[in-house]
Amino acid sequence: MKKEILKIQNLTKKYTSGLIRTKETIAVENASFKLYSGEILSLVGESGSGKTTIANLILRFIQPTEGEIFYEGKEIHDIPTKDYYKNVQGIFQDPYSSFNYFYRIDHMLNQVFKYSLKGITNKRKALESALSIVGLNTDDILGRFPHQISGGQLQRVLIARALLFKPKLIIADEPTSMIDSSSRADILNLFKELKEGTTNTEGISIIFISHDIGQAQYISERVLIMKEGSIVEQGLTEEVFLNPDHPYTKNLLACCPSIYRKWELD
Amino acid sequence: MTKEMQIELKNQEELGKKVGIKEIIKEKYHAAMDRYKRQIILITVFFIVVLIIVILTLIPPFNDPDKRYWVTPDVLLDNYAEPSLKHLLGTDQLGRDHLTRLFHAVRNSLAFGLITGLICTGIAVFLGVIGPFKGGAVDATTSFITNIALVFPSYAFIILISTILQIREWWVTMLVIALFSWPWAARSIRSQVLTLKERNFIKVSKMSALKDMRVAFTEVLPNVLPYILLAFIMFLGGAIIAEAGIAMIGLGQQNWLTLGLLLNQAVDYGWIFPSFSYWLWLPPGICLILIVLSFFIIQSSLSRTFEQRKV
Amino acid sequence: MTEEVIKIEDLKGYYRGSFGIVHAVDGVLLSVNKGDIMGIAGESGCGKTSLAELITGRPIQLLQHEGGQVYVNDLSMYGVDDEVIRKEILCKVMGYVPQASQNSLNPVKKIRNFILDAMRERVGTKPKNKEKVLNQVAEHFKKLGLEKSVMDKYPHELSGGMKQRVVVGISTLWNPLILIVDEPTSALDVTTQKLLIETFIHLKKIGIVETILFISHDIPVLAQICNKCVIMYAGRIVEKASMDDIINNPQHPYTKMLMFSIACFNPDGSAETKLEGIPGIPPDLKNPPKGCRFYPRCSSRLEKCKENYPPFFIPRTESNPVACWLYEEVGD
Repeated sequence: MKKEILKIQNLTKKYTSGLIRTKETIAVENASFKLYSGEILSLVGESGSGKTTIANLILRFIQPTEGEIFYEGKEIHDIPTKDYYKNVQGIFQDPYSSFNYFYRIDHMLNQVFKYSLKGITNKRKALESALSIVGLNTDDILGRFPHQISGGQLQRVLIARALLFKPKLIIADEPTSMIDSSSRADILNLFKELKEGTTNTEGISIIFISHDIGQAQYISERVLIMKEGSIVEQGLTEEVFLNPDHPYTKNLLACCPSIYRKWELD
Repeated sequence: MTKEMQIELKNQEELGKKVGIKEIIKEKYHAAMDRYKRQIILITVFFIVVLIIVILTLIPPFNDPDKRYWVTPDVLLDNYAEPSLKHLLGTDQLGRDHLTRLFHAVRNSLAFGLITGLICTGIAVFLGVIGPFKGGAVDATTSFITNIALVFPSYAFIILISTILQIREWWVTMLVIALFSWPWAARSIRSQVLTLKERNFIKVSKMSALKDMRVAFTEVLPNVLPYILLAFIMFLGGAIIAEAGIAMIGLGQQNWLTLGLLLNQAVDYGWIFPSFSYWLWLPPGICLILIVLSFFIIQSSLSRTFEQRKV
Repeated sequence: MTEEVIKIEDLKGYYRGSFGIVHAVDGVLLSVNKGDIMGIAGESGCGKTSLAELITGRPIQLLQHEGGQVYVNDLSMYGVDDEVIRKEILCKVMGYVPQASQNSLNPVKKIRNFILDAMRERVGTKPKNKEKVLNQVAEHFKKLGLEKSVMDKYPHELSGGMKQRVVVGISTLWNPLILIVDEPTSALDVTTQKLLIETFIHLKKIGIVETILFISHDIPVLAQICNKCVIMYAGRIVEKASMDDIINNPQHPYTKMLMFSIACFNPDGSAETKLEGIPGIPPDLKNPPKGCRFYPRCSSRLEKCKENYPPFFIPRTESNPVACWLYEEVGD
């Protein structure tokens, strides 16, 4: 039995707009799921299905309207900020906007040591090992500005930054959607390697958020299908994608373009 | 000019021979680039002139604007001297060299603008950055204050307050002008911060356990620097002209000899009419126009530079 | 007898600006036959969109035609007057739906007024009988699966897929026989993607358009609609083949590696094969390498690849050329 690392219970996020005549928009409604250690869970849905809202909720950027998120049995808002982010890190869709263009790349990596991991003495070594895991050379990255390297490399620097914390959970919010397929495959493989772990590091659990069914199928053990804020189906990847139960999932899979089959178009 | 640029320019020239919409647009673009180069020269010249004036006000015989030349038993003998080689801009009613006074006035006006500009920018940056980051009640309050200040008829209020306050001290005028000029900049900085706040690097910094205010000042503020600089230059020019306006109608400060004060004397002593002592009011007027124009040019060319960087 | 509707000969288009000269399209050779649905695939920055812009005859600002010819129905696009192209070719012979054009609908105008504006721009005078014209347009929209009520809506009331279809509808109002669409599906969800692709197929079936040039980075999408496909890399075409050949039997090393890197939904179970990325990054087009542009990343490179750019060789059938020295022996 695998250890339960993240538990989400009846999570709801509503946005209210307007002052007198308020209008409610439901971003996530009554979502419950669990994540076990050492697995990749994919959140699949079309745009507006609330995938990113769930990521933002887990990463504590926004407060839930109702429901709880437990990390290793503790409600996440009871955990001190610093401790929480040592265990849970995020990677976002747009690598270009994840960097502050005013500074060199070093700035973002040094931030980690300056504010969060104050104990580390050999920073250079920690950086080198994290960058080598993601397949980057320290000399190619340090001292450069974000606009000087490609999107795929930027995304890998972000992953390396997350690895500096030695986190147990990574929330990857559409990490590959703005990257060309030639470097996308490398990043997907990297996530798989991170999940497995190496001899001296533990495997990392990953929540992989994507609209791309192909990538979810390739990378994950379990999938959640989301539609308009609620989870319509969840289960093991093979089961969900081979024998979908919910009509929405069936339709989604039927519409997914694939090189292995052609649609029957009239 | 690098070799690449030369080749490019040559290509452009060749293409320019064909006449079409595209070529015309391209020509206009290059003309604009040339103008921009000229602006850089203008800006440099402006700063050199300012520097020379400031240095001159520190060395004799220009270091004392109240010094009377040709001190004779009858002080009033050498007053209102017309421009001559000895006094390039003539003398005033007390026989003081007007060029010396003009140098001091230019220096003081610029210093006045500089300090007022700094105060304005400080207020604008503080209110523009703190609101979006603190959110909630703080944000509501700061934007409420900004909005209220924005709809104040600032010049009318500057004049009104200067009239009510009978203190003719430099810091009073400075504060009055500063208090009524910052809102538009606070508003535009706030909107910039709001868009930057949605960028992912803010989230990344938060995940490195940075506190909100530190994120605001170390991550967001550097990205707003161009706007802050532009706002500062606008404030600088605006403060100089506002001070001159108040001083000219006799409501400004009395202890710094500024361009406005010179113009105020011209009005008070009737140098424009009935007597026509052009050397006493024409040079300060021209100086004022040139200074404000320079700041406008600097501002517009800088904003173009920043835009180009973003493309 | 197949008829060539678009013929491109050694087309070159560079971006010129203060950033330098970017060789975006650098010697493209291509011909499109009547009735083809031709896909143009490649990674971002490989020159797909620039190629489409150049085919329309009047590319966007900064992008300049530097050489080569484009013939549309045997008419040279760079040999005729601007007005002829604007009035006679665009829309009437060739429709072009640029990238992200669904966002180009005027947000303060109803679709019907937008269409009337477009008509006036094209015809030169105001349509005399508005109702008649609009009825015709509504009929045309019906063929694309759009209700008549769409005409009375503002763009923000329509979904992304609807907007995209409206734009396609406007581009095909004059029944152009050739339609160029640039990344029409990339901002859409899979369900709307499918609807849009069905629309294109339907348009071709009822004869409003005959030939489609479909530009996309998404090869699974291209696989659904195209019968032919070209792969572009760094401003050049590296392989042209039928869609099935590209997927099942790619020849050029780049195409091979690209196919290995695509994470694609497999309806028959989980994807077993391990994906492989392509090491390295595409060359800087400001100063492209002299030899084969894929040379630094290629796993089966030869000595001569470094110095000489390969011409097209034909390893398979006559119409399937590959630009790679590996096939020099096979045929010329």
